[in-house]
Amino acid sequence: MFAYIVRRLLHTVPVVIVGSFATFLMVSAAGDPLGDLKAKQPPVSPAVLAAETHRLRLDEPLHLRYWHWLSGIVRGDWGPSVSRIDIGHEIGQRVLVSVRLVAFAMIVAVLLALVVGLVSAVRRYSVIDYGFTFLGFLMLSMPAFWLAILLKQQAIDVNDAVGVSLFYTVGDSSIPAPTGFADTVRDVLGHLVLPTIVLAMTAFAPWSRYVRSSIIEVLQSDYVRLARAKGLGRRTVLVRHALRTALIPLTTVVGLDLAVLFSGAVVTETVFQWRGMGSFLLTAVRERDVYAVMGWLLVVSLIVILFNLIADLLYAVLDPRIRLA
Amino acid sequence: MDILAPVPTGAPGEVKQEAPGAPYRLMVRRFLRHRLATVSLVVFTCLVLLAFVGGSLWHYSYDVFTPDNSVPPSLEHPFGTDATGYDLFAQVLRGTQRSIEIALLVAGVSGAFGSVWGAVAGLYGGRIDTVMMRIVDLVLIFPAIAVAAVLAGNVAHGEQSWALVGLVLAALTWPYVARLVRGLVLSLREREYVAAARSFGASIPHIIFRHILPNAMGTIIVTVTVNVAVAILAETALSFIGFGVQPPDTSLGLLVSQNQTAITTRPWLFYFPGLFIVLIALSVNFIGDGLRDALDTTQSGRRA
Repeated sequence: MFAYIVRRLLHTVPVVIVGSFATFLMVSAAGDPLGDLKAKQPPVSPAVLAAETHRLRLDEPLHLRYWHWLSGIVRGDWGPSVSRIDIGHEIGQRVLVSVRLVAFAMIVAVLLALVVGLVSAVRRYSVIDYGFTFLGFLMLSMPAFWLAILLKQQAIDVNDAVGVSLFYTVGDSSIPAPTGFADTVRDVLGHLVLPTIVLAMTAFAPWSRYVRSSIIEVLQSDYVRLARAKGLGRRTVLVRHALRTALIPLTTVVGLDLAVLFSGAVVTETVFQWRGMGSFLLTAVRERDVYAVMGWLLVVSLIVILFNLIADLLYAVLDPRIRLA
Repeated sequence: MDILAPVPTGAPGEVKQEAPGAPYRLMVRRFLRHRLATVSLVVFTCLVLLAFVGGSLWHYSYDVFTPDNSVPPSLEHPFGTDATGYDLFAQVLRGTQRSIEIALLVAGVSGAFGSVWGAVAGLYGGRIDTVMMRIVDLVLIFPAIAVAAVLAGNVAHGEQSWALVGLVLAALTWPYVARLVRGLVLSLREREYVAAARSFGASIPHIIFRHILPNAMGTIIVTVTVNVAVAILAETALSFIGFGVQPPDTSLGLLVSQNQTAITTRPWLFYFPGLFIVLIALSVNFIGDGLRDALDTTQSGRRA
């Protein structure tokens, strides 16, 4: 197992290097980082421009710029930012905020997918099944940002009607932050509710279809019939045999969809005005802040790669036939 | 995985009395049996006609001010107007047109490119397959919206910005098609007719285009259809965060973005564009589901 993990991680090194070089070319080609500065009225002095060009390493050839970025990252230097932020520090502060949202949404969506998939598989072709199928298609066709604004407005209306702030609709935590551990946790969880609902609702639909079809398949298998014939209860068979088998394809699908969840988080965070990775990325792209975009992509893609590794390890736990060596 | 085989063998009783062309008639009948898919096809056709033909017939244009500011929906302005006097009905039609154009471009380009890529990787196998699929994995690691924002945000200006947005989204969608087609090819290439073609000395491009792709077509069509819905949602999301279609042109995502603050004061500005997005995506998804019933029973949906 340990050798497998090490080998998998070593395999990702060339992927990350090739991928980061490709994105570096792409981001660098996307626009002039000094465009805004050059367009300033009255014009800034050539000396300032030259200094900025040097600071952002624009006077170096492209491959050297990439090399300096890569060797810098290894040493913990994230590179110069157009807006002079400390990229590493900023990402460090924001990444947990976004990961929190994505993780909660993922857990809620997986639970939702399991329940909906199980119920529709057991009650196949019933009104409930058709209802869930339609709900799934509706959520599959729902733009996350629209659902988010809709939900936010409903929450504001409820708050107004009750006269108390029942739902938090702005930000990832209160400002100023509450003191004490319990209050902080409650505050953070309160802010998580609405964005988690949005992200989970837009993500669970295809997953529940996978669960449904794999449970239907399992229920027709010989070993489930045998388990029933042995006299095991319906519930035991469903949970021990059917659900466990259904989890296997689900882990792979969830792992593959993680990048999609991060995309959804960018939009959701925008609507709820979170200071997470979403607004960091949008600002960086708008300012053509090459190194900030690179830092964002590096961190998020490492999270995705790491999670897919965990999904593969889980796969082996769930399916004893798979041996990782 | 039988792709075209289920059509003649799946329901032998029904096929027996049919004349030439029967498989297609059977497919049509299977599609029509899916009632939601049939209704969706009608709805989607109406939306396309409304957007592409209706937009030019409507007595207001999406980019011309009307004398009425912020009026609620009425006979004169079915969807009302915004604060500057734009007729929202005209704007929604224009946005629908743009969204559908972009989605078809994305689905077409990514479908064609991804199919060939996947077919080549699956058929050659070995090292070529490994390298090609590594590239696919690479694209899938990055959250699409980030890459799309970087690419589209800085190139998409002016009249043709919608086409650039479409190409950028296609560049991020084709790996899904490629992976699916590769899987299909891996099972198809063991078939006797492919072995027979090989033994005749047929070239690889000949085998791909004459034997493999036609037999994988059912699954590819279903995937491409679902991708239309995925692309519409991706385009509206991209326009919503400001990196998609740029004003003075408009798209449904841009309309929602511009009007999100009006939700309490002039709710029609917010609800109509959003409802149209849901309506388009929902009808396309149901059409895809109907096609799946009609053409192929092995695949299920995906979302970007």
